[in-house]
Amino acid sequence: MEDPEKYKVRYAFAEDYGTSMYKYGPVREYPDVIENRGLILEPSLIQRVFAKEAGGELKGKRIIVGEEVAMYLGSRDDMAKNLIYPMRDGIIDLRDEIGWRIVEEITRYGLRKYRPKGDQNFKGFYVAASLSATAPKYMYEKIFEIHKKIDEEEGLVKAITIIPQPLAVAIAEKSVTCMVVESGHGNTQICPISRYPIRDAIVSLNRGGAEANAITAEILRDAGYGDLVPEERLVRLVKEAIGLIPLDLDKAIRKAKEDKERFRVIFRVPGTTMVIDLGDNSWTRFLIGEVIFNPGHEIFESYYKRGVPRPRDTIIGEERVTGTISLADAIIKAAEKCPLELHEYLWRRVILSGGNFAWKVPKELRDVACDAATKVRKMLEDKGLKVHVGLVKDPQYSVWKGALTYALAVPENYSWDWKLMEGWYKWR
Amino acid sequence: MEVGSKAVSLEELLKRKLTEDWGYRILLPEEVGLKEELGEDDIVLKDADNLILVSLIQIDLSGSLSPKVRKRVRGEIGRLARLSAYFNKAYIALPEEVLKLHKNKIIDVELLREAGIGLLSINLLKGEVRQLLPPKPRSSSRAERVDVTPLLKEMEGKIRKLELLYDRLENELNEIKKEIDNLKVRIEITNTSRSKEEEIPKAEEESGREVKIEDLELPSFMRDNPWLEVLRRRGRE
Repeated sequence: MEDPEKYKVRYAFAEDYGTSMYKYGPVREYPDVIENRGLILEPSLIQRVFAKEAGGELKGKRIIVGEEVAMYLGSRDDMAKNLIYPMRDGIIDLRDEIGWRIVEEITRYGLRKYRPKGDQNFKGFYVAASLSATAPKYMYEKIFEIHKKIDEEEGLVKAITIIPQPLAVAIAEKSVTCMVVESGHGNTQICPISRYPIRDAIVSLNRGGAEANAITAEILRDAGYGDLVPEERLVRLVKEAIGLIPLDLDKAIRKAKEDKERFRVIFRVPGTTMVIDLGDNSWTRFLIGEVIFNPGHEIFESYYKRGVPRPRDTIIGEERVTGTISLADAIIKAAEKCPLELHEYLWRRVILSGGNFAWKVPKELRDVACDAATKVRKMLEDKGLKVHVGLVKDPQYSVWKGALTYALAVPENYSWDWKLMEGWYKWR
Repeated sequence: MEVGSKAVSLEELLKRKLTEDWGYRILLPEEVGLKEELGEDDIVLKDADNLILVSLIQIDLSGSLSPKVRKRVRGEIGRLARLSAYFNKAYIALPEEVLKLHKNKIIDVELLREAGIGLLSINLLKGEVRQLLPPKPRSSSRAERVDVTPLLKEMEGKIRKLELLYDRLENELNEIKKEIDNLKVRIEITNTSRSKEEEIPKAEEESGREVKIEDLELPSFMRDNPWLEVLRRRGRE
């Protein structure tokens, strides 16, 4: 019989449940990525009639996940109604039955794809799943339950462990003591790490790429493209193509208003004839980036009044963290919850990770626009702190990479410990 | 000070002579795409394939020659020198009496020569137009200024298409690179696992020899990773 450790190395598998994207795959350099969403298909009237005539009954709704979703999409109205992203800010409600069914189908989709063909030795993967650092205990239980069910039905999972996303980032970045700021679509987690995540010091913000999307949607409405706004994917494409992080928002806006042509942006939606031209409003490109870092800037007030959702406050223990707190203040807040002697080490390495920090800086606009690391460094320097801030090489994949490393390194015979929240959860 | 009543007749005489005697054909400024640049006293003419510009300067002789008038004439020569680039020939036309009285004071002939601008005199009483200084003909003019806007738009479209193509190819190349990296790792993992299985003697295997992850060919983010040692101790600390 094969050594269990060796077996684990061969069949390690990592999953990163991001609010927007699900990254998955066995040992390799990069994961596969699909959107963390499912399309609910109601059985048609004809299907129901035929099923009844045949003496049976349709089992209800069908869920489509992965690349196939695009083939089933109907009108924009249908899409808004039936295309569901189950996670909100990295969390799914315990009673959200449809949401959990989508997660199950997405998980099944990923594991099935890598089932080794014709390998008699395969007895299931050792899965390391990564969740938000603020995921409640019931989410751990549900994820275990889903993997157990898939294993019972298809023999695809031998054991599972769960790792908080910021810890996964620190592992991928080979940094044992650091401050991780992981910002995805739905939320931003700031987590000091010193061999273990310092759970009491985690600051989680209910904001991420979704807030930048919401501002992009409002900017599109203002520019006369309101009909495109219901398509989340399109809004995201526009955000990624035109959004800019300003080094200093006020200065950037002033410059953009003075020299409109220089900042003007025309976006042609790939594969379509659609062209989006912000014209004189091109200065608003800077708002898309700024909202990630400082949604409390007074300029956003008018957007909140017009219906753009204001980031919700977070409750941490007995403390309420304002949803619009600047990212620099939130990072400082997390550091202040750690022992003083650790601060020096934390400031030596602030790691930014997550798709929400992957922003392009056009060469010709480098005098006013910057990348996420430069922005955070400047914000912290403005507060009088000297820090080293770095962006991970592949912001979208670092959680997955860390989770995979975790799967390979944690001993196979270390059973899941609910107190420490680590180890392998097994059922057979 | 300019005299409106004389201006009409001067202009009429000039146009008549240039068309009837010299055989030129009058063109509208719009026809040469220079409507914005040309003034009311500019006459655009065509002689075979040549484009000619004549600027009529009308000056009142009732008073003494003021510095303002001199300045205006100099400005006119400068303007004509700039515009002459669009024409094969360019002239300044002045009433003969002005030239007789003030020629050396208001016209710098050397300047005209240098600029290649010709000088015409108009004698209203005799009904004559004479060429006092011939212009320097230009072999080709840019007079028919091409409207490059459609061309630019077409170019912009082509550049945009190239950019999109470049983006697509870059993305595809990145995907291929990733896939190659992934395949390399899979091959290495498979090979290493197989060779390790063959290498480890059964007795040693049974003795519970630890699998050293560092020994394996692993993805780059796992190599030299201090966490491997930290995590390996979990559950034993």
